[in-house]
Amino acid sequence: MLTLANVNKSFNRGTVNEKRALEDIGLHLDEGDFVTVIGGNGAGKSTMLNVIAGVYPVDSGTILIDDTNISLWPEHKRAQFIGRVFQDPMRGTASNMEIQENLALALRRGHRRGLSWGIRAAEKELYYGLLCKLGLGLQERMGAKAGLLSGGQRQALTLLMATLERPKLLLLDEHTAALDPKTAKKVLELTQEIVGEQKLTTLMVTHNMKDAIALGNRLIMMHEGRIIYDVRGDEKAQLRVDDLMRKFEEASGGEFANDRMMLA
Amino acid sequence: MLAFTSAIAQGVLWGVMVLGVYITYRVLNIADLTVDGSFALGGCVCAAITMGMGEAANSAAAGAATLAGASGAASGGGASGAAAALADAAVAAVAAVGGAGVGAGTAQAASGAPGPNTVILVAVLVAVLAGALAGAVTGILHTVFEIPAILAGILTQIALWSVNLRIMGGKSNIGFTRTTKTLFTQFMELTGMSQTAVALALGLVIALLLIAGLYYFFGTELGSAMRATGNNEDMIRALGVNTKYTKFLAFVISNALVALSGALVCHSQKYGDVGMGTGAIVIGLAAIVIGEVLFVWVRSFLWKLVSVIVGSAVYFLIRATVLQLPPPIRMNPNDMKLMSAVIVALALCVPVGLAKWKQWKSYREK
Repeated sequence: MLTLANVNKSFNRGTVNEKRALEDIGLHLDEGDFVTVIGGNGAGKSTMLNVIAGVYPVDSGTILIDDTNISLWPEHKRAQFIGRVFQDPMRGTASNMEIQENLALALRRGHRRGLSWGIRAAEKELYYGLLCKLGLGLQERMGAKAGLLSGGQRQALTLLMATLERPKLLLLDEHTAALDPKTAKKVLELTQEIVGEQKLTTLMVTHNMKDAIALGNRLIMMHEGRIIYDVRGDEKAQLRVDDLMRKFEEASGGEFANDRMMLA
Repeated sequence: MLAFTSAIAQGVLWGVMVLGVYITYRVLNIADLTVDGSFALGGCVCAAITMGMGEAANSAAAGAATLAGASGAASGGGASGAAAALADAAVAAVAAVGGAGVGAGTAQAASGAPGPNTVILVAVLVAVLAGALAGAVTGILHTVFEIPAILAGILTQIALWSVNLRIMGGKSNIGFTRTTKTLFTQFMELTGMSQTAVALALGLVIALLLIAGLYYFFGTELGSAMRATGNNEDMIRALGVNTKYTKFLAFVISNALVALSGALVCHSQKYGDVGMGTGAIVIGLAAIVIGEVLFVWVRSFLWKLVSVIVGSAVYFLIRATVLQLPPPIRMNPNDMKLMSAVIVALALCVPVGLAKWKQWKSYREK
């Protein structure tokens, strides 16, 4: 489904501030894999998601989706395969546009946008039904501007938008990190529901080790631009937070204690 | 009274330019300084073609005797050769700017002694295409080469100054003669209405058609993507839209409208001048903020477009008023640009000042 082979990415190449963000990353996801990604700050988690999405180009290596080499594709072209939810709730929706307009923009991901009307009557019924399922009451506010929504509501809407037109790959970049614990829980439940229902291949970055263990069928841990731990299936199901902490300390030589990953 | 009606008519014709500015300033969130150049470009192209092609046609129809008088003011020499040379210069310059296809078509029309309506149509259409092209240049500088929008606009604007002079055969302005047929004189003949009435009626019809067209466009899939580009670029790119393309297209449409306005103003004032666009962007921004203040409760996009035209009409009304006040407080026409700059600066400063003042007022030590 998704293959990363020998992917390298550095920032500020050739300067004193050079930072190797990804070092020789190799990763293969099977169809329907739900992979959680953990690691300390600067481990390369977000960079990995961003090079897959095409936010910046890789320095070397290949990225394949279903045998299509997308390594050199621009971001907007890759979007036909990829749905994304960002950490910042403001980034996922157009705040000056109506909720239904946002959904209509999302429904056309991967399709040519021409001069036919931007939102059809039949679509609105589809959106009504889907918003009802969210259980946030948004179905009664479809004509309201997305900017009026709370952070949690916006993330839920963004999640709906990212999966409205089924993506081959769903990228979730700490999409609950900016929410209060209760809302975060609700958005995570929703994530699980949608991913399960559509059997989506998913990469989810999180700082929360409990979530990383509880969700998905596979877990990878990153450190200094490398994947240092990859566990799946039953072995992953048996994991406990302590195991992850130990694993991390092994890799990083004990620097772990103060890291944000402690927030489990 | 007539002066005020005339000011409103002028405001509506300039309002077409403000619609263009609205697309970049309010939809894309970019102040596009190409506007000063592309407004003059529209006027200069229109004037050059109207006088070049039109007077050449006159000479073919009415003979050299009429022509000597008719083109005297325009070309100085008063010989049919001079008029033809002017036409050639205009066509050549436009062809150089606007692509060979347009140029060839114009050249053919010029040699076939076209009627006045054809001349007017060609003049306006070529002006619009030239404006679109100017927008494309800014668009490419900004999107492909990632030059900041303000600078990209300034570069095109400055370049257009030279281009406009070339289009007008090296002269800084082209005046029409008493007999030159314009869009407005043709309608005056047709309807028997006064110049002012025709300018107002025709301006309103054109503005309403454009508003309807823009409203439809911004409701389409492509237009929605363009609105989203101005609102949240990261998001719409993640949804598969090439935001470089939507921005480029916005620059093209915007400057095409601006040049159309320049062409209309050129025909209404009966001359084209290389400096006619100077300060146009500030007038555009002033008209937008006036419209927004007058229609502050308006939410729908359609009414926002209407408010743009009203804002422009009110701006020109204010201008006509302060120019006609009794002597001690009457404003000098030279101060008009200062006035429009102050209006825009105030509109931008007041919200920030108010927010700071509110913050300061609401502070309590405990």
